Amino acid sequence: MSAAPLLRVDGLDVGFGSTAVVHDVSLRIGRGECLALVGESGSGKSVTARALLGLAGRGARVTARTLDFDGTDLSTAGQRAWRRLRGSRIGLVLQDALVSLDPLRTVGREIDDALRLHTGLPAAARAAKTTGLLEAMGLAAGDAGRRAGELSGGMRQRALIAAAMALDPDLLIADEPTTALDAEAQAQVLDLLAGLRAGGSSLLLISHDLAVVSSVADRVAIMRGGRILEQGPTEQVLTAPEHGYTRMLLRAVPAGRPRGTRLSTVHAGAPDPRSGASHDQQPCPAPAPGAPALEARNLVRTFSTPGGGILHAADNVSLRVEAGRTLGLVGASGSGKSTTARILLGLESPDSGSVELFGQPWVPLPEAARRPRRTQLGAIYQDPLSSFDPRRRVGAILADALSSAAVGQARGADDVATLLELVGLDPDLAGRHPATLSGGQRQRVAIARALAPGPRMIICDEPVSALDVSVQAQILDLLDDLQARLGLGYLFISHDLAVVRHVSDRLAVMHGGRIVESGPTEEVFADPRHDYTRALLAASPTLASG
Amino acid sequence: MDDTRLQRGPRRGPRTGPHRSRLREPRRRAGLLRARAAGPVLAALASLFLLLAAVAPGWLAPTDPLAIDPAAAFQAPSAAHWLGTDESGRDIYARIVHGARPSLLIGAAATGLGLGLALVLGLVAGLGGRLLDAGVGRIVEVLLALPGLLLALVFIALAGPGVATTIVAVGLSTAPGYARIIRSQVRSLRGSPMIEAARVLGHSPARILARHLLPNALGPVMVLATLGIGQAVVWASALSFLGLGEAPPAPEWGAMLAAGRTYLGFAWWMTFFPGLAIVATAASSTVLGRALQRRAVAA
Repeated sequence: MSAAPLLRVDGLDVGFGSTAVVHDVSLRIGRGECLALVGESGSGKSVTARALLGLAGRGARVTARTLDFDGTDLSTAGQRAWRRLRGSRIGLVLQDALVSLDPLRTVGREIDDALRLHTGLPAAARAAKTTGLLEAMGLAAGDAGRRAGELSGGMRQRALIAAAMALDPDLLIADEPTTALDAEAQAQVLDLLAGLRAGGSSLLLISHDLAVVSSVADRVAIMRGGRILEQGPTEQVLTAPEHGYTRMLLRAVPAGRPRGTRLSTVHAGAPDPRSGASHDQQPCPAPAPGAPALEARNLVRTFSTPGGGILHAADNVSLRVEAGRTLGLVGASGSGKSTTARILLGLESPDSGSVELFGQPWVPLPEAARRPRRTQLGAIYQDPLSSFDPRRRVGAILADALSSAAVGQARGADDVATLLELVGLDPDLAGRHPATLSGGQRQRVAIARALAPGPRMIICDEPVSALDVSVQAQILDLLDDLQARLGLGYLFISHDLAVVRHVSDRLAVMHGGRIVESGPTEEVFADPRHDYTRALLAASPTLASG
Repeated sequence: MDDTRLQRGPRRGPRTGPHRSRLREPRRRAGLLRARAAGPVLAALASLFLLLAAVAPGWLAPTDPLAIDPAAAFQAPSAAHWLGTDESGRDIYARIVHGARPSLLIGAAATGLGLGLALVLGLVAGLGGRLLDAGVGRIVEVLLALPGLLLALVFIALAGPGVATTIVAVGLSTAPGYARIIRSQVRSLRGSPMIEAARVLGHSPARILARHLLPNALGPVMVLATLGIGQAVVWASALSFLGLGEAPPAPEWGAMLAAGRTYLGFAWWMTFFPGLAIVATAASSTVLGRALQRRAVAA
């Protein structure tokens, strides 16, 4: 780090209308240095980053004592000055590459844009440079002719970084660059960013996930409520956090935390004797722990692809979830996890193979025969909002789920309240629309809905991957509590190895439609037998201090 | 950040925080709202007048719309006859007011019929298998390929003129458009996480259809139907104008237009005011429908 930092910010305030969202933020980024800005959604980290690009938005009041980029004072810069800086000296990479890339244009043109606007290079030279950039990002030269929809999530993100790096900016700002990616793609992108930094670029990395940034960042700044609580060298912040909030964030990271340890300090759900009682009137008696709850044998499901090929989404998949225990199913996107989940839920028929639920045939079975027993199997999804009827309030959603229970008793508002308390929510939320709730609250409502019919087995498909780490910790703890209290069996599907390790008794690793390895979680982690499992373990980020 | 992802779904709650206030400053927003609200308010007033005319025409125009007074034929608008008189001395204002009921009735009934038919077609195509979907889809496409009015004319040619046939004819010709929208709504909802969640909960197909699928699929169509009523009124008038709907002495806007056409050279009021009534009806229902649409999108 040279004496004069590349970016120097002092006393940055950003406000919209009468609300101030960023207070007195001071940052320094040296040349070739990577600073990570870590905080939850709404902590003001993205607004801060945008203010550094002059993109805080219309109606934003941005004031700073010092806003100095490489010796240029930007606190009074106009639109024209900002445009000259953006792209050429400061690059930006956004979280969701599918949205950030124009779906109608090829990746090559997207990169070419920056070159065309900021340099006087002829077309041939620009094309050569584009190819070079793509190759530097680990993409093929031919990918320049493809559109965003034809690339995988990780490839899109790398294409986006290529576009941001087109003009060799001195500073690259990456806003949650890996949040939407699975472990392997995330590892690739992180490697790439580390490589850029080694090549002399400065990085401002924004994330809600401490584990992700700790491997790349030189220094970490923790942000909450628009203020920087603490900043310092990564090592120091991770090992000797000064602020209680930082300690809370560190605790919330599931990586390396054995099963059963709590991740959040907030109590997940208020135990209520009444709720326990109401959930005992099940048509299906609680099976002894360890008895098979859900057992799949040799599931096969193939799809024909547009090119005339055959895709094995599930290739001879067998798995077994024991009552009251958790089976973790881990794999990259496209590995067939979701297809398997849909077959287990009876939403899709396998080409061959069978599923038993609590010892009784479940798949294949005519839907009419399956329906009365659907109350025994619940589901929780990644995006709870899209699984709610948008016209209904929380109370109506839960009442609707309660009415599906085989116990045909009059269950009214009291039970909606009981359910909400069971998942640690204020019963007053019954009158709200799900869209007005936070991500964590929505997922709690989704859990309450899954519990309403009184199931003994729940399939959780990526239930926490859309959540902040600290909220994720609370939801994971809640699921743990509910399992202990209600004797639930879980099939926990995730691409996040750290999360799966924390929640699972047993683990199954899925790759290319096959279960490549399965066994007790800690055994698999201690002694991975399959190459893919080893690759997955290597790609999973952990806190660097560990 | 998370905002884009979390905001999906038709209903958005009141949001605080940076993005909302960034969009519009409060004062400008109020001004925009006022300018925007003027249209719908006017349209609502016009619709109110039309509804009143349809429900209690005698209260707005005590004169008998059929009373002939040959001595007062072809009178220009005056204090005695606000909108003038026709070739038989009938009061045009009274005839327009009394004509509101059949026009609106035909418009509403035709739209209702079209929606009902579209619902059946849309559900069959949306819920049925690939063959059924393709079959219904082709039928709807053939119907859409023919101009709606032509379709209505063919039907009247086959079934004979009259109010009932006009309703059926207009309803038939509006159905394909609605059917397509309902089909695509049902198709996209059918595989949605929301419906899957209901299936996983063990709800019966009938219950899912009635409580989740239909209400959500019909929402956007209902807004369109408000727009459609105005269109149906225009079509019904067009059919009457051609002598295929309501028969002449009866006060009907299209028929009045047709009757006045002969005297257009010296009695412009005979065609102008019935025409104005048709345009006002169509315009006000369109403006109201649009306002509803905006609210549905913004809410």
